[in-house]
Amino acid sequence: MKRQWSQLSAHHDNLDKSITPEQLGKNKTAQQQLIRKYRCLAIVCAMFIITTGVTIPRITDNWWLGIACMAYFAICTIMELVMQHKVGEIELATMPVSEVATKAAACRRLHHIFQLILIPFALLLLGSMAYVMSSDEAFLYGMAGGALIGIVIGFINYFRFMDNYKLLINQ
Amino acid sequence: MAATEKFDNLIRLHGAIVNKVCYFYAHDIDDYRDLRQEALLNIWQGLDRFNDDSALSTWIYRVTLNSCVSYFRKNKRNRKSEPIEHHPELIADGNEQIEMVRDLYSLINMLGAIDKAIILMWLDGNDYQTIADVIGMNKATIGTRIHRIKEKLVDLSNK
Repeated sequence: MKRQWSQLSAHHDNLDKSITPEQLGKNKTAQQQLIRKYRCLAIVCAMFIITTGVTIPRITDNWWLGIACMAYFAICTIMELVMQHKVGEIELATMPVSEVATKAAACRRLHHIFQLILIPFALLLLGSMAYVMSSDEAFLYGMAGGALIGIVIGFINYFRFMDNYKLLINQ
Repeated sequence: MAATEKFDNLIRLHGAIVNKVCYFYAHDIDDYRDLRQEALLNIWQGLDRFNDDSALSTWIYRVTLNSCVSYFRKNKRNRKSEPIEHHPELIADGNEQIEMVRDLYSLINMLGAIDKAIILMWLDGNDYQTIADVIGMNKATIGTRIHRIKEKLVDLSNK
């Protein structure tokens, strides 16, 4: 087997010549893209802390709802920043393979855990908002539509993230 | 030496390592292309962090294997790419080599990511200490793992 393998090494040099350093210099690695996604989501969530803090007290007298929404988005922001940091910690050029595999698997696990925490919290928040605004039919329809769109987008993004995270690990 | 020249030389000398490792970690053609591009990107970006104390080929192994085991795969939905085992010609020339790559792929693909990394390095003639350094285990553990992997491969090939 080893002998056959060495023959393979000796004969082979088929690298695609279209991959040039100039092209590589312009591209981002999947890890860098993932870090950028987390950063963007952290910024969006941070903006929602402010917008919900400003808008919710204007549409309802229940101040606790505004605080709950702000707390939710603050937690989201922190979680996105933690994920960004964790993915950024993986140093492919210097770390041993076993360490990289462990860290990448830990990132995937953490992503699942954060989602398991945030999804019930989001549903609870939506339910509370529907209860508080139950007298306003138009608001309820708007919220149901928004929630539906949010769920669809959430699922699409979830599967995309999971594809990104799908490690080539069978262990 | 300019970075691009250094990179070109490096790929000319050790590009086969990148191809072979990516081939054995890929599931389909698109996966292979993505993995190879990812590994090359990581090599390109990590060139300035290359430590001259280790052999260049060892470092290429480290970066390529790390790219493969940690790969944050791009969205694969709606892809209809052909399985990689249908394209042994990507890393082999001639009928004999093509058959060998098919056989090797079917066996090695059954191993976990770390065992796959160990056996690929061992097949390329790296010594236990080098494998241990790249994988991040001690030399004795690598020896034991290689022994177990070989037994497993023999079992699998007899089935």
